[in-house]
Amino acid sequence: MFTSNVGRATRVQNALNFGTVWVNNHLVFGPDLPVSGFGLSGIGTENALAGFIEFTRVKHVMIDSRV
Amino acid sequence: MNTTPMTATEQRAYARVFAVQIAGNFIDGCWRASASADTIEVFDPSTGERLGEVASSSAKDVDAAVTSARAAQKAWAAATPAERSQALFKIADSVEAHFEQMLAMEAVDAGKPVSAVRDDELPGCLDAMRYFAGAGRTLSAQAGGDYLGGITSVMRREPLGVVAGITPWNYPLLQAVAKIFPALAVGNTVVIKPAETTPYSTALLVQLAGAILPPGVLNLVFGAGAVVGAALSHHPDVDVVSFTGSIDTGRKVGMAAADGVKKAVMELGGNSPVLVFADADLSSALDVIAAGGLYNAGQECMSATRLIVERAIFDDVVDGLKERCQRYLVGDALDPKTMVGPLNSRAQLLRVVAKLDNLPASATVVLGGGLTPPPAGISFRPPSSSTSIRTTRSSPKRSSGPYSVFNASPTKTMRLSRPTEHATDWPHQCSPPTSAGPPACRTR
Repeated sequence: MFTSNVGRATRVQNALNFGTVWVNNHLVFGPDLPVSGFGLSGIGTENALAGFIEFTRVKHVMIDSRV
Repeated sequence: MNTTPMTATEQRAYARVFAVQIAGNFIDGCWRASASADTIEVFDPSTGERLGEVASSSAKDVDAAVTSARAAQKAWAAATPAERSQALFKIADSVEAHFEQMLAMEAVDAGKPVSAVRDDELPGCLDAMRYFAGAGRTLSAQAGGDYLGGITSVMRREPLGVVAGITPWNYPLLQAVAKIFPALAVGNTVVIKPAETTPYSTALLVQLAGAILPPGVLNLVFGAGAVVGAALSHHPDVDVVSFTGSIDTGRKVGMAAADGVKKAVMELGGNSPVLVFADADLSSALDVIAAGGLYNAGQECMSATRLIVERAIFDDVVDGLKERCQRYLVGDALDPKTMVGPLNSRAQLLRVVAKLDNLPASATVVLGGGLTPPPAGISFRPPSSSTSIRTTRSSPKRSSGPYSVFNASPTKTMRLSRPTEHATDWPHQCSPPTSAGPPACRTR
């Protein structure tokens, strides 16, 4: 979105159901910045730490310390 | 560390030589003949000439690649994060040492302007490789502790196992990097399937990486989405499918993954709206919108597809964009002056033309770069802007191409229907932006 009103930019982004919102710019990317499609644009995240998490799982090991 | 820049002739010659030497699929650390005798022809989209052919692989090839990836995964996961990181940094160094070759391959095969690949995309790929190589060492999980009486909990963040990566044709190398590198960094092994029309930059990446990684850690299978993509999505030994592409194919991938109770990460299409308020710095905004609409010949799910413009400045925006679009030179991707290259394939060109033909008669459409007569010999050249300018209130389905559809509010209420088969979910109803306050948007 293009506006010089920071309050409007803040309000409008809050109303948008998109994974990426650019204010006064467009198509700026970096590997450390997450890309996610909302709705029909997809599931999950690419890039950034959130993107790494997609390729991992968490194993929970519970050790009974009374034994 | 780079070799001298190649001329366009040298780039095309290199691409042809590389294409000819690729035979079969990269499985278990070497090129191996496909179980299928069928091939897929690959074209240079700038000239329309045949560049080479790759295997139209079968489910047997997929099975061999997944088996290799599975066998290699335990040892790869047992390597320390530091060891995996060092291997990935070495791959980045090797790609950088082959910068000119990779540039030629991507520009020829995908029809991407050399200036964009040299200045933007290839440096971006190298940066991404190094980011993933380093950041893979920093992952965390919930802290261990005694959350239950007498029980000590330890959380381990583990790799999923075998990752299938299915990449699109619009950013072949960048998308391959975005799937391969984070997956490998955390201890998965990978089978990558590049798009049918753009297999070669991924082939070069995999060949360079294969000289550094243990056999089986990274495998490549060429072929049709309906065969190879489907076999990967259905394969019981694939733990996660990472797919970037269309919604239709995404649904199939998702259903196949659900059938095997496996994970699917999906980046699907977009129908990105751009909101332009009257209080914007218009000159700067129009520069950015034109650039964002025409980059990669508009073949980008986040392109400036739909413009929603405050009525007071509607004419200024249309006129300003038309003027800016004239500055974008359309041409052979290998011409350093080219800013808008060919569309990726004849099929894509036909899709774009059909979409333009089917827009409502009232649509306002600005076509990028079309005012510069493209040189003869550009095969899949984008449609020219001789098409009439029309105005629409609908949000048509869009195919990736260098054009934008404008919405202006003719009444008090601007209805923007949710694009039926489209990616991004626009608020169902939105009042027109006014300078008095924010638009009253309702979202799901």
